[in-house]
Amino acid sequence: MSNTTNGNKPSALDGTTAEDLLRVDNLVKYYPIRGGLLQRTVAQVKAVDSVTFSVKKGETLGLVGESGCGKTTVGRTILRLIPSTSGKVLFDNKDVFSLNGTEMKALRKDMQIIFQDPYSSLDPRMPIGESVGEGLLVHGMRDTRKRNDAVMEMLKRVGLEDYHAKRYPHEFSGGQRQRIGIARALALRPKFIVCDEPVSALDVSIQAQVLNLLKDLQKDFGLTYLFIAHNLAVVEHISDRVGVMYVGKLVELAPRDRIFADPLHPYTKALLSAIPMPDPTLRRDRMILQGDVPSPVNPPAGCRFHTRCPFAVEKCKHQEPQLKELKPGQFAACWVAEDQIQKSQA
Amino acid sequence: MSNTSTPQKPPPPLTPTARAWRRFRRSKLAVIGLFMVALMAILAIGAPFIAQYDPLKNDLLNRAKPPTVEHWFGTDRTGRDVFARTIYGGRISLMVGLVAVTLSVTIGTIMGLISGFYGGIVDNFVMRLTDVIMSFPPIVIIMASIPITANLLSSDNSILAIMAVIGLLTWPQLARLIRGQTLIVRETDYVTAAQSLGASKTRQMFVHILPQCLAPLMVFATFGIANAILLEAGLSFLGQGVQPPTPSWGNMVESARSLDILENLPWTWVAPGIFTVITVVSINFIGDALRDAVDPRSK
Repeated sequence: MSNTTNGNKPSALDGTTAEDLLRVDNLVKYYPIRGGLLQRTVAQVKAVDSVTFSVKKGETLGLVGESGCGKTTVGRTILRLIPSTSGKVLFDNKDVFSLNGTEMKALRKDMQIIFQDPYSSLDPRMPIGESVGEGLLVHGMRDTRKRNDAVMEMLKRVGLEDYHAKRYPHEFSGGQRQRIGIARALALRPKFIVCDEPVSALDVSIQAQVLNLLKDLQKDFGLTYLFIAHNLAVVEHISDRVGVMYVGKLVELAPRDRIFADPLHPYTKALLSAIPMPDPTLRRDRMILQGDVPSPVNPPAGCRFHTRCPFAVEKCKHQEPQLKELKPGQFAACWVAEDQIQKSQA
Repeated sequence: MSNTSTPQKPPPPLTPTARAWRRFRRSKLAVIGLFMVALMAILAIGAPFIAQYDPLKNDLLNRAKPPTVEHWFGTDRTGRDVFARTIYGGRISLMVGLVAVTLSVTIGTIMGLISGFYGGIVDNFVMRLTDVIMSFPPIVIIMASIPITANLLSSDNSILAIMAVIGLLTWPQLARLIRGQTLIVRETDYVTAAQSLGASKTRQMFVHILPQCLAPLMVFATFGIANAILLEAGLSFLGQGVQPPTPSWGNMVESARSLDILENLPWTWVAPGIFTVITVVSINFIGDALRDAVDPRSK
């Protein structure tokens, strides 16, 4: 695949796509709102609106944003658990949305998901050993003994014992269940895992354990993560790069250190200033946003953030900024930041 | 007492089924009901070994005899042994109940799962079909369709027709229950997880969703058997059901429409009547207890 070098596609970051495991190109997901007598589509929830990014092999891309900004939808659409409206996803150079049933099933071995809620992500009527072994079974490992061995190995790997295999989900704590969910996703030895807020339902003390487990597993199995979260501290701990979403759009995408040290987009700045600091004497200027998140049914024209942005200028209300590489490796979609950087360079 | 540092292995887990069974046993009526139904089933299955007489054989020397040691429930006007006829009749009644409900549960479950899982046009079609079937008064359509079905099955045996018709007309209630449950369960993360693991739609429906529907399904099946037995008895009483000389509880009671038998030979119709009542009441007790036992909100 040749590099188009137009400078505003994040996939051009490394000059080549050879080491990209996943490329998401203008992904769109609209949910129709039906109404009236004939159930015609009267409006659309623009959950994800033209999102483009790529994830390199072995990397962790964190995806952050407020509730309802479309993070989860991005994750699930990539895995084709929800049909997309338009756009393209290349996984391992395969066009995920154009695969037929058999090809898709084969690809599912390589891409898995870990869920947010450990209470609803395990079948309550199935012993957890069976849940963990289900992927192996549906992909043709019919030999019960072989499957059990693989399940036991996986359970031990995530810190559970083999006698746990025969138990039901209600007998486990939240942290244990999350480990079971991780074991289930890992049993097929995938290359890529969407972690959909995997620790936000857990106690803080357990969060660290699960995060470290995820990091260890990434090292051992050479995994690539798309890590969805709303907790910036968690994202800082685990990510190599971070994408920030606002009302269905990716507004900033940059290496972790750049995001936390020198954010370009005002929304990222606001998010960062909302991180609580464990020092009550510390005084700092917090950037507190006014107003509510606009509805994704009827997002603001121009930059979607202009209604709440303290720096918004006239241009922001009419023209939509595109995601551009404003500093090396750091992409942002903001007119104001773009102007500032051009001025400083001039 | 015990050393706190020794890791204690927790007690073996209780499966949801085991917990339901424990709650079920708490209801005395249900346990009695289960016992009575078991007794009826044993009588029905073992009828050829338990009854000393052929239920169809006339014995004109012993006509219309009240209960004696030889004939426990007496004999009818053609000298047939009423006890033999009652337990053979139980065979028919219980079989009609079981087969009709099996048919109804199979259709209802599959229709409900498909309807809820696929949604859209499929769902609309199945639900409108249930509306159509449920909008008929059951007795009328059953009476009308039994001769037709018997003809289609090309059998003189109306028992098959009764079972088929009851089965084909009672599934919509279950289909709706299952559909509702499917709509809830298919959105859960564990079904999405199965999908993401590559499980087929059939596997998602039958391995992950169906077990969540077992509670309403079992309750429906229990009450369904009782209803089917009553329906068969009602139809036979109206002369549309099991045809004489084959005994069924319904057509034995039907003979009491003759004033002479009603007044002078009560033993010929009291026995099948009591058997019907005991069976249906017992099954309903079981159904009630089952409904409480499988309700996840009860302890």
